[in-house]
Amino acid sequence: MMPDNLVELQAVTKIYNQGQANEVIALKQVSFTVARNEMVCVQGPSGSGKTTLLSLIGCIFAPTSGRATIGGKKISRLPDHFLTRYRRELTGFVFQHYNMLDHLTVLENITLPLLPLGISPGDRVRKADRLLEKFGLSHRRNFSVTQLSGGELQRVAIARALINDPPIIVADEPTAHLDGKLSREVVDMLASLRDEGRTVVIASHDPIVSAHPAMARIIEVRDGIILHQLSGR
Amino acid sequence: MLLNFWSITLLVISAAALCMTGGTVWTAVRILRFWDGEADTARQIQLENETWLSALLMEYGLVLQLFSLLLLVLAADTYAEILIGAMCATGAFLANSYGIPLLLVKICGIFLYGFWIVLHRLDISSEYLPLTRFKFWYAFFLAPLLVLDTVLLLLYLVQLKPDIITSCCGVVFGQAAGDGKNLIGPVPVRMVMVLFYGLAGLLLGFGYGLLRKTAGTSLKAERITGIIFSLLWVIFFFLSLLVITAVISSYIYGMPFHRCPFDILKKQYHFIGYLIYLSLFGATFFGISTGMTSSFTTIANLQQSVRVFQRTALRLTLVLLPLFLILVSWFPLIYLFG
Amino acid sequence: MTGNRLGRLLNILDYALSSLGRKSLKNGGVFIIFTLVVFLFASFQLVSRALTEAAQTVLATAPDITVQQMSAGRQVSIASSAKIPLAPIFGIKKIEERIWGYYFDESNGANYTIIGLPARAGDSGGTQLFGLAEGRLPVASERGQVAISDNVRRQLQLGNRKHFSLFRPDLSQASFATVGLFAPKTEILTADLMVMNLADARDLFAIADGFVTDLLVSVANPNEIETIARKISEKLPGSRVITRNQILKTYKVVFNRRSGLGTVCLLTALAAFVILAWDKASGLSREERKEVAILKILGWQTSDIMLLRFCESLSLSLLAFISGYLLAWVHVVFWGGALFRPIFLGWSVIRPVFSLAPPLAASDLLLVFSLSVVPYLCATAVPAWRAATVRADSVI
Repeated sequence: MMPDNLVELQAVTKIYNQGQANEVIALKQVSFTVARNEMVCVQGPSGSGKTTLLSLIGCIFAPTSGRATIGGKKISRLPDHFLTRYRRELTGFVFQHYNMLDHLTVLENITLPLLPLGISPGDRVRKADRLLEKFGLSHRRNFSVTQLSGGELQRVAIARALINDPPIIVADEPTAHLDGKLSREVVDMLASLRDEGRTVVIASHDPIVSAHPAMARIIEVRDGIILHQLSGR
Repeated sequence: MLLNFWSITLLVISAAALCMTGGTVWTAVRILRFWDGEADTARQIQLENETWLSALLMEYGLVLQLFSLLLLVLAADTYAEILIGAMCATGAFLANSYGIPLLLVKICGIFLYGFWIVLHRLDISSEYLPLTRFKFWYAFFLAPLLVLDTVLLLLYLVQLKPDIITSCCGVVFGQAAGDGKNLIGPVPVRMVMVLFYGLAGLLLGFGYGLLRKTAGTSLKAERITGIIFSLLWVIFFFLSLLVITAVISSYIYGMPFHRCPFDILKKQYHFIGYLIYLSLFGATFFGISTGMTSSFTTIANLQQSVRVFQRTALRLTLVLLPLFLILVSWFPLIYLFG
Repeated sequence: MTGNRLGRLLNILDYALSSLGRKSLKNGGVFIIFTLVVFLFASFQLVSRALTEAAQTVLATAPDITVQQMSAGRQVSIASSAKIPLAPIFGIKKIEERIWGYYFDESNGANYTIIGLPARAGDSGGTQLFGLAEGRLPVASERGQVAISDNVRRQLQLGNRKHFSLFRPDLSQASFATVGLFAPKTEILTADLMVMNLADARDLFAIADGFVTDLLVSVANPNEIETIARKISEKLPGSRVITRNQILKTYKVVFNRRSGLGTVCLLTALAAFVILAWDKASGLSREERKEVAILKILGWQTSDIMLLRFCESLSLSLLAFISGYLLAWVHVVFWGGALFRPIFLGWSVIRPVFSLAPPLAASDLLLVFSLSVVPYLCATAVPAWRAATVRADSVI
């Protein structure tokens, strides 16, 4: 049973290379929540801590201090293999640069997260085909990802993020390499995930994203702290 | 007898095992000095990464020990062909005073490596990694055993001379008292077999009881029960080796004075020895592990994992032990009643 | 749970195999060298085993016990009368006299082995011992007759002739006529052999009457050989009593030592290969780092990546092992182990032509596997871990 707030950060600090000469404080005492079925946009300049915040929400690493609860799981100071497990179960990540494996087909890229779970090839293909159909990519299933356009790649990325049916979707600049029309399509797709009952957190400068009607809040991050949170509408 | 394909292979495997364990010891030193489960420093992250390396190296170490044991037995069989007086691997092991200790150290090593892996699996089942320090102290003290293993191997091989007269198994395991080279003296067969089957029955009952037990036992009682269970398994293991050597093997060979625990691994006896030893080693390992892990039920966030492991281990012992008993009982029964 | 674990293993293995195929250039080099290393070790082991087996076959024809006389640490002729004190020993079936020695042929540098046996007409024991392709063995009643091999015939350049002469120590000539030819299948035993009757051999080597080279003792019960050998040595102090078993063990020791020596030399090849394997496995390209980081972000754990790399290493090494061993097998069976035979057999003008047929033994496979695949997997363990600890956030 999922809690009401799927993302809860309380006085979270993240320090890279703690205790060394190149120590960097990426987040300082950050606190905020994201409710179930909410879509929020995180904005901030380069180096503001935006990506670190997304990485925390995406269970890529744990905070240095403070309390971080994602999908009801306390991820503070978790060993890496637990983080990975929760990352797999709770979050789906959509990257700015797609991060596809060029040597694999569309279908193979989408089913990559399922391999270590021991799911049989037949079941993997069935799950992937459902998503491919949903995003209108069935005709591209056996194509190499290098043959796809930017818009198609981002749809594949979203499909891959959904393969484990996670309650939280995290997207880092999903429209960075897309034109206006495609950007709107991608944001609409992400909004439809919110309509399905998922929580969506997007980091983006793009006004098409922040101005979307489905956006509940815009969170401004600067120098590792949250400056303000504005209502999206 | 260092200039020999088998000897060189044994030494190479030993060197590989030393390297693997050396890597773990190096990690153990760093972990015991710097481990801080609450820290988020680069060093702590690196140490957490290194625990995965240690686990990998220890798993390799276990496989190498298993390989090494098998190779040693097969090598001893080959050495027997060029040692005057040695009829089989037993004679080769008795050719100098290092053979049998080497064999025993290797067997112990398998159990000890295996238990480290059990500890590791339990440790990583908890978010708090509560057994990390303990398992690396354990690894630290495992290292001297491996060094001893290598030293004994070297001494055994160096001292092995093709022209040395040694005993054959017929002399070594003979019934007659007063023989100069009896490894195991005259054994009262009836008493030993009653003890053997009695203890096996006790272990089966004990294991079944542990599997079926409901909550309500105190943790202290559970720990004491576990220790007793493990001790009984250790006794049973050595008793089984005695029984296989002094009693059962003769029935397998169909020769009353051929008492050798190694020839049952050979082709002419349908490799039955592998099944016998696999079931014995497997049952013993899981039995001892079940008992030893009872001590960790006091750690709150490990209780669940320990119970799951114990249930699985007990089920395995309840399969492997009867299999072992059937295998060793088959031959005397066929002889007596077939 | 078990199904999931098995499914995970199969999925990751599948991914590993396709990964190997993609990096064929990088892995191809390692594969070729690995195959070569396995080929060398396996050839050595197979030749050693085949020769040991061949020696065993040959020595099955050797006498149960050979009695020789020693003086000042060297073998000298033994008196025929030494048979007398041995006769009462219970268990001895038969004691035969034998004269044997080497004859050096200056014209071609060959050393022939001359054996003089007291074969009687109709004695079929010799024929069993030395299978004949044509003719018969010489008998005691007829002087100047020999049985030789085709090899010796060629060395003597006899052609179709049957008569030839050999020199006695006083340089007078002894004439012989060939009455029998050994079968090719006995080459390993008869390649350099001339068999004549006892008197001819005594005459050729100018050995005094009443003396022979050794006494051949046959024992009724093979289990009694060691006991009877001990009794003979007690009855004949100063003699050397050798059993067939001891001869076989000595050959085994020789072959073992030579194979051991060869293995030590090959260890340098193994060490070099292990270093190469470590080096190749350690080098992570940018693409490989990115791939690992992406897999980790998608939910692959460190242990999954380590398993992936292990599967890659295991698949490559198993394939190389099978290829190397097969090549070694072909090398030994079809080319007679040409690379390593000289190491085992030494130098000789007359070299028996025999084919090696090593059995396919699980222990040999395990041995070569332990000396090749296992070190390789150990060498790739740390690189596999390093690859697995690439940080997931490095692709963000």
